[in-house]
Amino acid sequence: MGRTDLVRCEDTMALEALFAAVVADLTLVRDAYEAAGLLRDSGHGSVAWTLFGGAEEAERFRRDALLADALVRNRVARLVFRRQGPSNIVVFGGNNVGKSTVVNILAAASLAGTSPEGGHTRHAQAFTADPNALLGWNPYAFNRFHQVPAAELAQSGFDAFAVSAIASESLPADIALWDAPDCDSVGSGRYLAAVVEAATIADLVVYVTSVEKYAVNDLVEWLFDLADAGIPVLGCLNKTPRKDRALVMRRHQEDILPAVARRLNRPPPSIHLVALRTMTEGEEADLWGADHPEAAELREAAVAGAAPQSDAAVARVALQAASDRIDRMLAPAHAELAVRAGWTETVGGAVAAFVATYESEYLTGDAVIDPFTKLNVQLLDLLNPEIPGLSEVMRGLRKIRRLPADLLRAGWRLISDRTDTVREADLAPELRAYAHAHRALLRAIHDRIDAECAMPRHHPFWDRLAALWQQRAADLAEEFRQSTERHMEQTDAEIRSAARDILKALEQRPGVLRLLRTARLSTEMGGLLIGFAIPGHGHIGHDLLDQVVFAPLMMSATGAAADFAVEGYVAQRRSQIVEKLRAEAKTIATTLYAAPLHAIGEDVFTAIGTLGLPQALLDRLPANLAKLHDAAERLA
Amino acid sequence: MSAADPASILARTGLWVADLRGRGQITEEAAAHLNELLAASVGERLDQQDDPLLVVMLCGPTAVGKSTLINALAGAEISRPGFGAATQAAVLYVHERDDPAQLFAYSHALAKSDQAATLLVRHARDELLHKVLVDTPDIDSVRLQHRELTARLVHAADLVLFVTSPEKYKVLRSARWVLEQRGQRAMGFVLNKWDRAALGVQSDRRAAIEDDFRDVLAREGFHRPVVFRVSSRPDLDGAEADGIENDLPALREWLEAGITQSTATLIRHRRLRSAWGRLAAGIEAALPTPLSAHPLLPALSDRIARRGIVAEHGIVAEALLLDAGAIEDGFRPVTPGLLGMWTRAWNRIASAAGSARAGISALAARTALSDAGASADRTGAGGSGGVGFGARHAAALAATAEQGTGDAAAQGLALGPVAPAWKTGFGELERQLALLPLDIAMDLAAKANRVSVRRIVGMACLYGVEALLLAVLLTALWRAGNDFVAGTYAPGSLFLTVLLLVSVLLILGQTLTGLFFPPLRQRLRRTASRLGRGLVQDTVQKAQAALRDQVAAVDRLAQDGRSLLQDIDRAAMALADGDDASTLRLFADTAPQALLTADTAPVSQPVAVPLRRPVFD
Repeated sequence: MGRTDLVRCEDTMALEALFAAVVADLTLVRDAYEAAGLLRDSGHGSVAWTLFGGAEEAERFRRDALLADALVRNRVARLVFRRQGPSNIVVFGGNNVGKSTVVNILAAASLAGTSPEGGHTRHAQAFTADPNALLGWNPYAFNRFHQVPAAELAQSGFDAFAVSAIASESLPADIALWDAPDCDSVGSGRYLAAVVEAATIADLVVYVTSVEKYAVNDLVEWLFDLADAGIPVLGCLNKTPRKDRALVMRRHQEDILPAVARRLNRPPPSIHLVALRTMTEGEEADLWGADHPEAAELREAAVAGAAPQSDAAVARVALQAASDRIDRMLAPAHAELAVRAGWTETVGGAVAAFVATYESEYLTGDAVIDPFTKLNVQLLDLLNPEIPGLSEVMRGLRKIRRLPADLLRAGWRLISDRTDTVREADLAPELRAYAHAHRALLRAIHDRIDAECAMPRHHPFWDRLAALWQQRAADLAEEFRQSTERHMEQTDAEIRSAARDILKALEQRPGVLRLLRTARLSTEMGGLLIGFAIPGHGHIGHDLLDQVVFAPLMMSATGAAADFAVEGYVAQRRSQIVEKLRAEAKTIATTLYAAPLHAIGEDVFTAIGTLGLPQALLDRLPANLAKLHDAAERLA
Repeated sequence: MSAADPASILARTGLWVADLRGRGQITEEAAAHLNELLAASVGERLDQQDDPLLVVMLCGPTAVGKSTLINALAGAEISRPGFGAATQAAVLYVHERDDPAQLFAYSHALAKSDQAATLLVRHARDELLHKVLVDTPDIDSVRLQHRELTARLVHAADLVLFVTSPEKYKVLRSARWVLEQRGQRAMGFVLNKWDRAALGVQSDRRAAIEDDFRDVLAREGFHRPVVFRVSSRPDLDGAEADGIENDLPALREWLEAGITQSTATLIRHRRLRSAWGRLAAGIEAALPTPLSAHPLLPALSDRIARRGIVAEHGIVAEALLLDAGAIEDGFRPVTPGLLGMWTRAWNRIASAAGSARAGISALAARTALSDAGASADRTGAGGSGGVGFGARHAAALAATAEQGTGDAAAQGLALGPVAPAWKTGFGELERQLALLPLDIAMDLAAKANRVSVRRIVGMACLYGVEALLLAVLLTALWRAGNDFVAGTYAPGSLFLTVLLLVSVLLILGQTLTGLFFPPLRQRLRRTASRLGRGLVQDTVQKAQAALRDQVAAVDRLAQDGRSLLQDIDRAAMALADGDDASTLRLFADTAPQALLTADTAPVSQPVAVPLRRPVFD
């Protein structure tokens, strides 16, 4: 027996810890939402409005979010804390329906200030015999509100509530009466949290309605939410002429509730309606007098309905309701994380596409020889014998020799290329590959943004991004150009140094080197000789020969010789160059694109405001609720 | 002037939107939105500017007494009042000389089948001539279809009488509804149920209610609203009850005489101007930017053209290498005799060589394929073997086009139908090119077999040569026998002579064959090169033309949009423009305050009213 107690005790402690964790997480979520204005503003163009695609959906979200949080703190808490103190009867209803009057009737005293103007009550206010015992059992109740003296309530902000002491003869001492603000008036968004807070601490909600209000959709949906959360509801039909009462009550029960139930696909709550008498001027004194038996009837029904329920049962139903709403509550946070992940993925994909395009078009494409051709050209240059002045002389001679051909070529270019645009075909293969890669990247990002913006309900992030992207893409193109130029210079330098190194390696084989040098010199000199020896067309003949036969031959010969002579070394240098180019492309992609693109994403997020809730919390919260549910089942 | 006729503007706008969507200048969603706007504009009866009807619509939340009010105004029970959400369809109160047929064409077009029919009540009260009173379903009840129906109906309203009650005047949903409609049409406000029975204990503080209501309206932008405090209870019959004021007679008077025909025109024109403005704003938002100035356009066109030229050269080269094994010189006639034997032998050698070549090229193709396995799927066309004629060039063209499309999309050049046109065009090109050699071969073969003068002459020549050969051989035989008999036999010289003659004749025969039956291979290659080139040119030109067409169409659309806007301006200008103070009051001209959005500061407390009630402890 002692063992069972011990287990139970351990269970309880674990449960308390779990509950505290859930409440802490919910507080974090709610803080984030409040900071982002999600719970405050659902007007046109606000974050909530774009995120949910309209004011209706934004308001539904707000209601669900507030309810989930308040239900856990005020009702699920009864798993952990033992419910004490008086029973709470909360008067709830639409604007101007006479909630405060009903409070007065229930207390049989003029407690709450009433006004003909709607939205008069803006704070939750409790009336009880012993104010200190009211909320003491639950440290989380009203934790976002502060208590002020009743006299100061009117001047306080919307995060205030008051508890007043009363001594009523009609009302039992273990009943606390709550006057809640309305939930549907102009500006009610400001104090909706107080309404939800009051409704969720209720042991009985007295739902006040009237002939004008009973068919209003927003209010009836509230009824369904309250029933869903396991909060007992007593209906009170106010402001309805006597002759219409029976009909209104019947229609409420047989027509209105089933219609909404069908639409929401939930069972209709069974709500007992007590009608109040319609009072005209001068009858106020009789509100709770002997001539007004309806008042006594309502009071009796309320007191009976507020009888304490089992803690565990209340908590279980509330937990279920909170679990049902938690997904919708976390939807904005999930959406934000999804957007973040989506953007990171887009940028990553685009950068990968950049590198892949560059590789396939340049490093492994048909032009794969290009870096090595460059390498061989460099080698050839280095092979020129180091006789001072010789190379200058040779170059000068060659220039003179090629003058007619160069002139012809320049003329041809002038004729054929009238447009100023650089022909893509004329670009160096590497630049072309880069241009293609750049285009592939821009396209990948553009496609993604377009696809996201086309969705009917999307995160405002994408809209902002689309606007920002248009201008950033142009900047990126310029940065890209500069960066590739820099990169090309570096690559050339790298290839030059590789050639020098290979030559140095070749020097270990002096025979081969001498042979190559001799061949190089003899072709050069021979070419020159042919050019000058055959008058008229010798140079063109040699040019042709040189370009078609000699140069490729020499290059392959040099490459082959280098391969042959210092095989391992050349292969290593070659793979080093390719590796370096690949790494360079990756670096360019990350420095040029990834970082700025992520920065753009961050800019947009700062502009639209972030929630900053981590994925871990979003995973943990529903899981903890489920665990709490299991624990509740076990304890039961 | 007919172009600026309202009905034609609406029709043109419809066509314009459809064209805009077809040209890919707006998304489906934007097009749907525009079409909705257009339908709403038709609902506003923009095309009937001279229609004298003034539609006064009673709108408001459930159970505030809209039906009771219209009954009171009509003086008869024309709309059955209930206890909230009872009215399910519009009830029209129309003078018998007015024709309301066009009034709800729009909402009826949108109506669902389960919607109750509009009820039409005719009257003969001349003071309400040209003024249609309409009762509408509620805007906030659990019957959501009521809300939707009223949202459609309200487009026809010139003057909305927003009916509410002392209990409901401050409800958020009503405020939102008024905010939506403000500025679009004239709005008057009715605080219904302004009687002791409904006000109940608050009767003596009704002034505060009215002030608060005016405050709410001021925050919605109506600083000098037209407000009537009305009790439409039938038993009161428009009289003051128990000293509580009742504006019902005033409301009736205002509707009958206060709104004169000229005021009604002002109101109606103001609404029409506002509706034109909304349509114009929608059109302006969808107005495409002309494409002809787009920087990418020349580059795009250039790219396609260049790739086209490359493809042409490639096709020519490929045609020269075309393997014409199928169409061998079998069409040369084989004559019986020496020349025939010679031709047969020649053919046999040629076919053997052909098959050997085919075998070698097949082998080469296989190795090339296995070598370039990776590159094969990249280019999509593989090596030279096994691929249709010109497939690589067509694929390259298609790839260029696709890349161009992508670039255009990335740089905001909406190509719309051009991209699919390019795709199908180049796909078609690939198919046509692939079939080309076979088609030409069949054509050539058919031609070669046809009986023609050339062919007949050729045959005759060949048979002539054959006869000559036979003659030479016979002569030689005869000479040999004769000489042998005569004893002057000189085999050496005879043999040489015969050999010479036969060779000369065979060469002659061969030449004649070549002359009259030219080798088809050459013709096949030439034709393939010519036709292939023509096909590529055609396709590229078509692609360019599609691009040009799109550019021209979008430019024209931009132009059309602008002219539509001008016409709308003109149509709006043609409406009377002279708001007097009394109509101005009906439209909210100032921007609404942050009424629906929340602020965290507490609002000023209402002045405490002394309570007239007994005080307990």
